[in-house]
Amino acid sequence: MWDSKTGDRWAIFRWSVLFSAIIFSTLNAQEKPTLTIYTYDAFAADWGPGPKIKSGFEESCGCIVKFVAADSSIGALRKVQLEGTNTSADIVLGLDTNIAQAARETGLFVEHGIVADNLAIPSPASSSGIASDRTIWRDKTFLPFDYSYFAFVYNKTKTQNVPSSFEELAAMPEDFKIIIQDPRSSTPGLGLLLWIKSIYGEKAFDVWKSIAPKILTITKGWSDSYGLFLKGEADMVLSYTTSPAYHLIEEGDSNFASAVFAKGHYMQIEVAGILKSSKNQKLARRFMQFMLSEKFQDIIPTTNWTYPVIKTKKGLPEGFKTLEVPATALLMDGKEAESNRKQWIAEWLAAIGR
Amino acid sequence: MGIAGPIQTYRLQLVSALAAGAILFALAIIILAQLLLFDTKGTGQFTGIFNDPVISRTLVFTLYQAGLSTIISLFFGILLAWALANRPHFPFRRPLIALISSALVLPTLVVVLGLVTVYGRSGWLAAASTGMTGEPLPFSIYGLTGILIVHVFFNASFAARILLHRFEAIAPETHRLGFSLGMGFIQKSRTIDFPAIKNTLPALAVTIFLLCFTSFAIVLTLGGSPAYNTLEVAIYEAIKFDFDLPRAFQLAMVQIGVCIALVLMAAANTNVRIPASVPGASRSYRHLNSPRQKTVQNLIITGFAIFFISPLITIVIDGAGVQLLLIFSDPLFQRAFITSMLIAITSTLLALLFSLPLASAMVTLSAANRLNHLKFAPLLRQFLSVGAMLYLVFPALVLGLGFFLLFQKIGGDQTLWAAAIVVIANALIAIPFGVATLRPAIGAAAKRNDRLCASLGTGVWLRWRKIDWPMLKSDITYVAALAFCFSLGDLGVIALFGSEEFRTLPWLLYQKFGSYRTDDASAIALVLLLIVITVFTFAQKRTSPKQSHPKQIDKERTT
Repeated sequence: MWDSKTGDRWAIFRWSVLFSAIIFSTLNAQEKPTLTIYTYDAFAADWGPGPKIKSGFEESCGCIVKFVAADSSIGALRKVQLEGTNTSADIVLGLDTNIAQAARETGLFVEHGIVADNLAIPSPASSSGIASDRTIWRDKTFLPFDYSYFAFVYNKTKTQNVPSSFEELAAMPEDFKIIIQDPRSSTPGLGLLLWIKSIYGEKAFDVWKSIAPKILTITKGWSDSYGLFLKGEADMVLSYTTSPAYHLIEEGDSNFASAVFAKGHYMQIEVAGILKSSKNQKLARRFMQFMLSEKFQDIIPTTNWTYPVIKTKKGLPEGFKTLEVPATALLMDGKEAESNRKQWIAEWLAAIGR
Repeated sequence: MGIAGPIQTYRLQLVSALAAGAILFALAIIILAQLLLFDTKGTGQFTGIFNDPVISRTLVFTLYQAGLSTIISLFFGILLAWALANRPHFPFRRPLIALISSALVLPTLVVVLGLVTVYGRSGWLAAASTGMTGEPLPFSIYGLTGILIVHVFFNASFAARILLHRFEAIAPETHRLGFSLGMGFIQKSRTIDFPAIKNTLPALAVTIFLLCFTSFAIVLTLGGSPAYNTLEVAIYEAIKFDFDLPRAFQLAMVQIGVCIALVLMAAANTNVRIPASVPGASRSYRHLNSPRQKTVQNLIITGFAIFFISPLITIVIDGAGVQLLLIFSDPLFQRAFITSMLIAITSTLLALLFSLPLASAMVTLSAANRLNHLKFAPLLRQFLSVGAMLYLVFPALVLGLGFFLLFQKIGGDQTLWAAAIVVIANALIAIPFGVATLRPAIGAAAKRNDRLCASLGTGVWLRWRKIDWPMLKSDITYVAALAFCFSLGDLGVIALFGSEEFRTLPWLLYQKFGSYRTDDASAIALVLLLIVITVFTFAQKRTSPKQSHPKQIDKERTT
């Protein structure tokens, strides 16, 4: 029997074969080695640093750089943990000094073996024992690539009344809403947790309880929050003191600003590390070296909208001069943050759980 | 093809069904074993589950939101079904019912996106509200309110669809009798309307409760804060945020425990069957309603129709246009589209491959002149039906966790694993629905055709092609459409296994939605919506009017 119906069946069969062929064709082999870097979404995005850094490194490395975007920074670390030694990642980029210790304890990372003595990261005023000179980087596993300060960003045309402390934030009118990130998945979220902790210590629980009604939503990652804020869903978003530079330089819009909190702002130093399971150790090390080069560092301010970790010849773009620089910068010791992280997160969950 | 006697065929049918049942059981045991074996490595994961404040709070909230969702959904579902039953000539009634029936298969994220566009802080309603009163909306779509709105969207429609069937089963004579006895609204509700739905309500309530209890995608996107976590989302977060597998395991155990209890409760009641066809406006007793009742009924229908259709319209408006063309040229979308199609087709075939033999064998084991005389017939039937319903107690994320632990043990290519897991999980979720729909249909076919075929000595193949297939075609198409739409719109295990290399359309939609790239998200949502509505309408068209009821067709012809 070779009627039209069986013909149809063959057509379906042929189509499915064709579809599978298309899928498998994307898995074709490449000759150059591929350096796979897991990072957070905003870093890998078209408008983020990813594409420029990719082409910058590819000029000299004889390799292909592949950024794999997780939906948050800690998400990138978890992805590596989920995949175990099967992971295709060579480098995880975008953790910060607060979560670095947790990453180190997974045992998945190797030492970078790079002496970084040309860094220009300001020393935070010590609220918790950090007084060391940060120009010599002591972490043997993770290297920094940028820094900034956490802050709540708002749009001057929409929000005129801006709090200057967490107490004032709690006392804002009922419909004043902020968007923050989850400390379990996002480094800014964790940063806010430590920010409040380093100012209020034992009283952090009460502070969280008092600002809980102001939280519109808690997102997994920074870019989720920021997108929601730009849609006009909230008055302020947890971001960085440097975020307004984006609107100023990219969009020529000077209406965005960061709220200055009198008791200080928590600092974030973002880092990257090489995975033990990587088959491209040499290449990965070269990338880490590249990370501290002027070329890489000059890309950072106008793509990741943060400060570079070295002084480059080119220097910072004009718009950065208009930014608020916190008088007091806070930063906790990484080990202290990690040894308390779980307990503080449990406390946070209890405080915001209504 | 060799000539096989009917008895041999039935035996073959039974053997293949038992094999299918055995595979389902084996898989469940493997997954459970993964979870339990994992426990022995840790120390005393079982102890203190309920002492853990976070777990108990999550459990309480999960039960609370599911309870609230069930009550509100049933309330609106009953109202809507009652109104629709009483207004058989409401304009666009048939398409409206068809659309509401499609709630069953609408991808959750598509609806969530639409509802956010309508009820979000800068949504349509907010714009209208600030435009008219200058006041912002008194509620936020993020949090409990949002979860409830979406749950009611899906489950009130589901309830209305099933209850409408019950209301319409009331004989017109009963209504006329009530009218001539001069019954008031309350009396009529108590003696006529309520008894009609009374038997369906408990099972319906448990089903809705189960659906809301295991709700994942909705809570993930609209929960807004860990205070509003369901157990499913907590499992997801334990794996993806904290990589805390012991915690995920504990949550999974609580989850399975509650689900087993719920499924047992549902099984103790009668099964909820999803009516496959859209009833026509055949019964008319509209003149029996007072004008005030008519107004109320019209208001209910109009109100719900606006609530139901507005988010879908926003998807069409936001998604159509340039974005739709752009999205098709996006390589990410193209790959996700092909991946999703392949997964949906494969899991549909897999679901049919399991549901058909299971349903057939269950019929064969109870039908006279087949194998009902077998000694162990009732026991085997029980085995098969438990096998078919087994995966109602394995929520997607628990299934995902089990598979994940298996993957960690065995290793291998991640993308391949992810694809296989998603296909299997999607098929497993469709099997209970498949068997529940096919079994009565196959049973009816057996009842009608067995004797005739036996006396004519019809061959197996001929009988299937000429007699059973034409009768079952509509139900099989319906099950296939359901399975396809479930799979296409699913955002469950993919949330655990999705990656750069492996993305489905709902996962891509979730990512775009999560990063508030709403233009892209709306376009993807529109594509999903169009596919699902097309497939579902196609399946419904073929089932209505039912070929299996020639009398009904005759009636329609004569009128």
